[in-house]
Amino acid sequence: MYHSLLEKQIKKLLTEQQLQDESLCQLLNVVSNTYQAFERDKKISEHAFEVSEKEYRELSEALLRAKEEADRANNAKTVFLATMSHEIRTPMNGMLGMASLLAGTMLTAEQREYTDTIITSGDALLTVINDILDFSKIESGNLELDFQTFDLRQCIEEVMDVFSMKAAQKGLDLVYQIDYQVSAQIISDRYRLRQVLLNLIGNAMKFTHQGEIFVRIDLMSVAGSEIELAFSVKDTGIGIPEDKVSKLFKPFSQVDSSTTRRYGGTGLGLAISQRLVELMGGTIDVESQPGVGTTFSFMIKGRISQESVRQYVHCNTVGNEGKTVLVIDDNATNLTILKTQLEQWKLTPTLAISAHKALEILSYHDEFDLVITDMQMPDMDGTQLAQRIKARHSRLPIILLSSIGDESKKKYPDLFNEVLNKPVKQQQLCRAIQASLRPGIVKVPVVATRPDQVLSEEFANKYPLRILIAEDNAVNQKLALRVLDKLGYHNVEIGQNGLETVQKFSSGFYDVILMDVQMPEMDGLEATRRIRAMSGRQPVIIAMTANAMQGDREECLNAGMDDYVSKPVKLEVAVNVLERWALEIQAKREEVHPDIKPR
Amino acid sequence: MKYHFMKIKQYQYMGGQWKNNFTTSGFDAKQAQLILVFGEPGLITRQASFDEIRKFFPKGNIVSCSTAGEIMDEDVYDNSIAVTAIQFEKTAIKCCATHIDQHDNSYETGKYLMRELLADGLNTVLVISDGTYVNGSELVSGLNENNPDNIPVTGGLAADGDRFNKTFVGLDQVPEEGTVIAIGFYGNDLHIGHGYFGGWDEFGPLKKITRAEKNVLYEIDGKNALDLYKEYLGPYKDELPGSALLFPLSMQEEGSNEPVVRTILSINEQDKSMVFAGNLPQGSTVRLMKANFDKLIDGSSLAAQSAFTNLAGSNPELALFISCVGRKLILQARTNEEVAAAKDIFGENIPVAGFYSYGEISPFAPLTRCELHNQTMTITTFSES
Repeated sequence: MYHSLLEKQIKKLLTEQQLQDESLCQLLNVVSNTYQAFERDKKISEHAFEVSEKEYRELSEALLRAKEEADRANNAKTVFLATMSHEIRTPMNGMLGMASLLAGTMLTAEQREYTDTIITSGDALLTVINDILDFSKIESGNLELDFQTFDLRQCIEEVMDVFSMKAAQKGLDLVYQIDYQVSAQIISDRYRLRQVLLNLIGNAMKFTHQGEIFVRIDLMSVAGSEIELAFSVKDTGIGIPEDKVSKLFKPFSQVDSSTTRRYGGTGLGLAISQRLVELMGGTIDVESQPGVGTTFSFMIKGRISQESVRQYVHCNTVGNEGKTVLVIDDNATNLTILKTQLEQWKLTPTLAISAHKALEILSYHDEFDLVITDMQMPDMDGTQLAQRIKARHSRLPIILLSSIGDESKKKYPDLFNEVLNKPVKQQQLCRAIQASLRPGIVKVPVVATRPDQVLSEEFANKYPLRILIAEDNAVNQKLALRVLDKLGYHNVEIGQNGLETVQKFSSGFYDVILMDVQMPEMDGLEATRRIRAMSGRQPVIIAMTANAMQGDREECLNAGMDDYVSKPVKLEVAVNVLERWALEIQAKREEVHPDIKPR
Repeated sequence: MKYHFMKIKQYQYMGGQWKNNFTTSGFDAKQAQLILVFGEPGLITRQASFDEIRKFFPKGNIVSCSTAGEIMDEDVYDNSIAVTAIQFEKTAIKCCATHIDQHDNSYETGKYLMRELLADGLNTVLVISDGTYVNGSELVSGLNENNPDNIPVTGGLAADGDRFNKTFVGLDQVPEEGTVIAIGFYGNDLHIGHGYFGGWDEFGPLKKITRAEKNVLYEIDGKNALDLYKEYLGPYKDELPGSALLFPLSMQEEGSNEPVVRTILSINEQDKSMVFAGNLPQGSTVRLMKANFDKLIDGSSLAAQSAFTNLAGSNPELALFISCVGRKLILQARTNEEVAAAKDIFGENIPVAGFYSYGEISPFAPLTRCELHNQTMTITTFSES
C-alpha cells in the first residue's frame, strides 16, 4: 500500500502490467515514504509553530507589561526628583539669601568669617544637589539637550571669565586658543557645553598649583553643515596615577579618598561630563602623567549655523598691515597663541620669552610699532619693563596683559595705552591694538571695573516700581522683602498665594510681580493665566521658583510669565533681571508719556 | 593517466559477501598504513570480520567504528561494513588508542591523546571515539587544551543505529565499548580541507538554559525542559526520545559568536531531564531548530564546497563524510541524496567513505580550535603532493 495520494497518481498513470516491475515498485516505495515523511513533517511543524506563536504572544504581552511598569517607575522617579529638587531649594533660598544679606551688614572679622563660610558651604551644597539632579536625569534618560545657535567664542570666553580671577589669585596662566577654522556660530547645546568646560577647567584649577591651563578648540572635520569639534583642557597640575585613570569617569569615585579630603567635590562632575559629551555625539578621553599634568580632550558633533556667516577674524586692520609688534610673555603657550592671532591680523610679531630678552631685542631693533607685555614675569614684571622701555622709546605704545584687580592702569596712567585682563578676548585685543596704533580713533574702555555694591537704595530711585511678591513661604517672603528694601523699595506687598495675588492685582496696579510657582489654593501658573486674562495694563511677571527641572522654565513662560529665575536666587542675578525689566518698563512709560522722565 | 600520491582501496561487506569497490592504480595492500572500518555494530564486533580485513591488509593500522549507517561512494547502507585502506606516499601516521576508564574523565582522555600525538610535523588529527560513555564536548575541550597551534582536528563519535545503546571502537582488534582513538598525520605533504554545515532552521523565541549539568538539561527559562519538548511535540510526544531529534537546540555559549547544535540522546522521566550529545553550559542562549528537507541536502553540499575551498587548489584524493544520525532519521529514504549532493561537488573519481555518527568534530573555520557538532554533515578531504 502506497500513500493514498500517490495511489491516485499510480491509478491514473500506470498500468497493472507496469506495476509488476520490481524496480519500479522500489522507486514507488521511496516516493511513497517521502510523501508520508512530508506529511508527518508538516503536521509536526504546524503544531510546533502554533506553540511557538503562543510563546511569542505571551512574551510580547509580558514585555508590554514590563515596559508599562518601567514607564510608571520612571515617571515616579521623575516626580520624586522634581519634588526633592523643589523641597531642597526652598529652604536653601532662605539660607543663602539671608547669608548674603548678612554679609552686606557691618560685621566683626570673626562674624564675617562665619558668614562667608555659610555662603561657600551653601554654594557647595547647591553644586552637589545640582550634580546629583543632573546625574539622575541623565541616568534615567530624562536629560534632553537644547540645541540652539550660539557664538562659540563668546561661550568659551564666558567660561574663561568665571576662572580668570581665581587663576590670577593662584598665579596660574589661563590661556585659550580657538582654531581660526572653527566657525563662529554653531548649533549645539551651549549650556551643556559650558557645563562640561566649567567642570574640566574647574578640575584643572583645583589640581594645578603652578604653571598653566591651556584650553584649545580645533575643527576636526566638516561634512556639509555637520562639524566635529575637538576640545582639550591641558594643565600642569599634580596629574593622575595610571591605575586611577580608568576610575575617573565612574560616578562618586575620586582618585583617592585623601584627594577627596584635600580637594572636595562630589566625584560626579566627570561622570556627568562624560555623559553630556556622549549626548552631544562625542567621546571624552584623558591623558595624564603624575607630576607633569593632565589633558582632558573631548569631541562633540554640531552643525554650522545658517543664521549667521560672521567670522571671528573681524578685526579691522586696514592701515595696520605689516606693523611690527614686540610680544613679551614668560609663558610659551601664550606667546604662540598671540603670535598666531597677530599674524591672522596681518601684523608682524616678534616674540620674547622674558623682559630681559625684550630689552635686548629693543637695543638693536627699535622700529617696533607696538609692545604687548605680560604683567607677571619672573625676571622683571610688566610695569618695570614698561618703565625701562618708555625711558628710551617714550612714544612706543604698550599694552599690558594682566589680571582682574590689577591697578596698573590707575597707578601708571601714562605707562600703558591699554590694560587687558587675562585670558584676553580676541575682540578686546583687536580693539586695544587698533586704539594703540591709531590713538584717538577707537577708544574702548577695557579695564574691568569691580561691580558696584549689588544692593543700593539708588536702584529704586533710578527705577521706581510698584512690586508685588507672590510667595507662601514665610522665610522667603522675608528675604524678598529685605532684598527689595535694600534696593530702596519700601512698600512692596505680599500675596500669600496665587488667589490672593490675583485679588491684589485686580484692586491695584503693580509694575512687577515676583511669582512663586508652587503655592497653596492657587499656584503661580494659574494666577499668571488669570492676570493675563484681565483687561487693562499688564504687569511684568517674573517666576522665582524652586522648580528648577527641565521644562519648568518653558511651563512658566507658556503660562504667560515674562522671565524665570530659579531658587536659590543669587542676589546679582535677581538684581540684573529686575534691572532689565525695569528698563523695559521705563521705555514703555516714555512711549506713553514722553514728558515723564526718571530722576 | 593521473599520478596519485595517495592510493586508496575500498571493500564493502554486504549480504554475506565482500566486494572490492574502488582501487587506485598502483595500490599495494602490504603498504597500506591506515585502514578505516565503518560498520553495523553487530557485524564489526565479530572476530571473523576483523580477521578477514586483516587478511586483505596484513600490515597497516585497522581503526574500526560502529555506525548508524555506512557511507560509501555516493550511497548510504545499513547492515554493512565499509573498509577504506590508505597508502600514503610521503605522510607518516601514528595511531593512539585509549580507554575512557584509564582516565578521570573525557576531558583528560582528550588531553592524553593530543599529548601522545604532539610532535614536530603533526599536520592533522582524526579522532574516532566511543559515542556512549565519552562526553564529546569534554573530549574536544581536552584535545583543544593540548593543541595550542590549532592543528586541525576532525572526526566523529561512533554510533549504534538509532538505538543509542552500545557503541564500539577498536584499534587493530575487534572493537569494544569505551575506546577512543586519535590518528596523527605527519609531514608537510598532506593537505586537508574541512567543512561542516547543518541546514536546520531556528524558530521560536530565544531562551536561556537555567539549569543543566554538563550534557544533562533540566530547565530552560526556569521551566522544565522535558515539559517544554512535550508541548512542542504535541501528539508526537509518545515517540520520545526519537521524536525529540526533530527539534535539536541551537546553542550559543556566553561570549561565543558561533552557535553550535545539540541533539537529544535520551530522556529521563523520573527527574524530567534530557541527555544531549554535548554539554549545555548554564546561561547559554538556545533556540529550537527544525529540519527542512531541502536545506539539509543543500547543507551537505555546502559542507563539501567549504572542504573543497580550503583545500587551496589541490584536488582531494579521499573525502571522509561524517554525518549525524539525526539527519538520517529525518531524511530516511532520501538520506542518500545528501551524500550524493556532497559527492557531486568532488566529482566522479574521488573515493568517498564515512558514517552516520553520534557527534561530529570539526573546526568552525581553518586555524580555529575544533568543536563538537551535532546534526551536521562534516567533511574532511585528504590529498598529498
